[in-house]
Amino acid sequence: MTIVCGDSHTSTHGAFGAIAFGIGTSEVEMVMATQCLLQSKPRLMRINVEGDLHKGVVSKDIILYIIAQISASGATGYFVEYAGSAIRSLSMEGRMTICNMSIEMGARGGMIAPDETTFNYLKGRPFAPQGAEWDKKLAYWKTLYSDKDARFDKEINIDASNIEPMITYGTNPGMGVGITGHIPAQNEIDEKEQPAYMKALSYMGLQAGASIKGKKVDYVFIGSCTNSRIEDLRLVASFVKGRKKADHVEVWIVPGSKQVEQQAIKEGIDKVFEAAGFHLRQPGCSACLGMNEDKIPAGKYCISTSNRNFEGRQGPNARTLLASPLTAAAAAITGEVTDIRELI
Amino acid sequence: MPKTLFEKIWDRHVVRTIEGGPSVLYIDKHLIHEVTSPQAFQGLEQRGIEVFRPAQIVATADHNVPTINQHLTSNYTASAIPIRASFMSSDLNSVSPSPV
Repeated sequence: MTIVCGDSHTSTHGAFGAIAFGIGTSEVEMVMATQCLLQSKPRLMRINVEGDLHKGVVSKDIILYIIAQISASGATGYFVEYAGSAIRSLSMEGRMTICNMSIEMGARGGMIAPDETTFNYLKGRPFAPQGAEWDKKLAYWKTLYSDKDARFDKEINIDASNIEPMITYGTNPGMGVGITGHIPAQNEIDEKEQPAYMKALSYMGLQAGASIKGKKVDYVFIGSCTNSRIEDLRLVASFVKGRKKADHVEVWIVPGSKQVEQQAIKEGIDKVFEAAGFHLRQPGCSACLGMNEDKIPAGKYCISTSNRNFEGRQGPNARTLLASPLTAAAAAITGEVTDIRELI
Repeated sequence: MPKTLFEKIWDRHVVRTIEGGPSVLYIDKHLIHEVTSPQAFQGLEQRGIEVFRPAQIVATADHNVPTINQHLTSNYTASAIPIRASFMSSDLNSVSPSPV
């Protein structure tokens, strides 16, 4: 299937083995007029993530790790396929998070071959094919994988056991480290990139060479098309149950859809959040890009499960630290950047 | 010849290829929202073109919407303008609306 939308994070749908990508406004017009799009075939990259994930490490950490490894422009011009045992072991929600952030390393989009996890997720859902039509579609879907000797323009191999809970310290998603790591010292950065690097740290109010763990945060945002699915909310609820947020922190939980919101209420997740001092809000893009009223005030630090930490993204002069829902939830409780592994 | 997952899907959707240039790719599903779609509707209107296959489009308002008191549209007048502009367009009468 091919899917487009005037939103770069359309790549999320690649989790289902679709070619899905964001387009510009003039292209939106082209598709409305013709149901077709003029496109050059991108180069193809495969990223293999093999091995087991450590406790407290989730799909968001995988993708933040990959982007930190290859940089925010490391996949420019490519369409990425994610493969390997660590990817296969993820739920559909986890796969969506991975594909969602493909574009944060410059890729046109990202995709994962459909398998039993995909088929089980789709079966019986509204809009899914039924009866004989399901069987026909399923037979076709089972042909959607890269053949054994298929050629990729580039392949990258990642060892899942090297991945820690991740956090970003800078102003692009590639500026991330493991939670026990440190913000690179100036001399660890390529000389010609040092001015931009120091400018980013100045915007963030952070010191080169410093540890990121222990940094005080003001806001926690759990939401966006990257991490606002029911699984994310369940994960956060299971961790915060019986805990209370730090006094100085404002916590916004924004479900990704009405369906997720209703499911969360049905499961009593809203009560868990309320008891912890979190606010469960109504669905929308919200503080991911601050196009509505949900803006982070200037100078404040927000640990956010969204996808971009650009200058001003969450509000003028707001400072964004990207992390997984678990790491964000840990910060909500302690009031600072925390290694979730010490709390679970 | 062995193919990648991407190539299997891409090849089935190519309508025409321009020699040494891009391809015309068929799009199965087009998602639209209130921020980047109004200009596209305006463009179609100016050129007198209708939406070719409205059944392939799903529209959602999500980028600008408030996350409290969503039933009180007057609370977010500034955000409501593009939402109304895009979703009250006559071209959209047969586009499937979707809850957020």
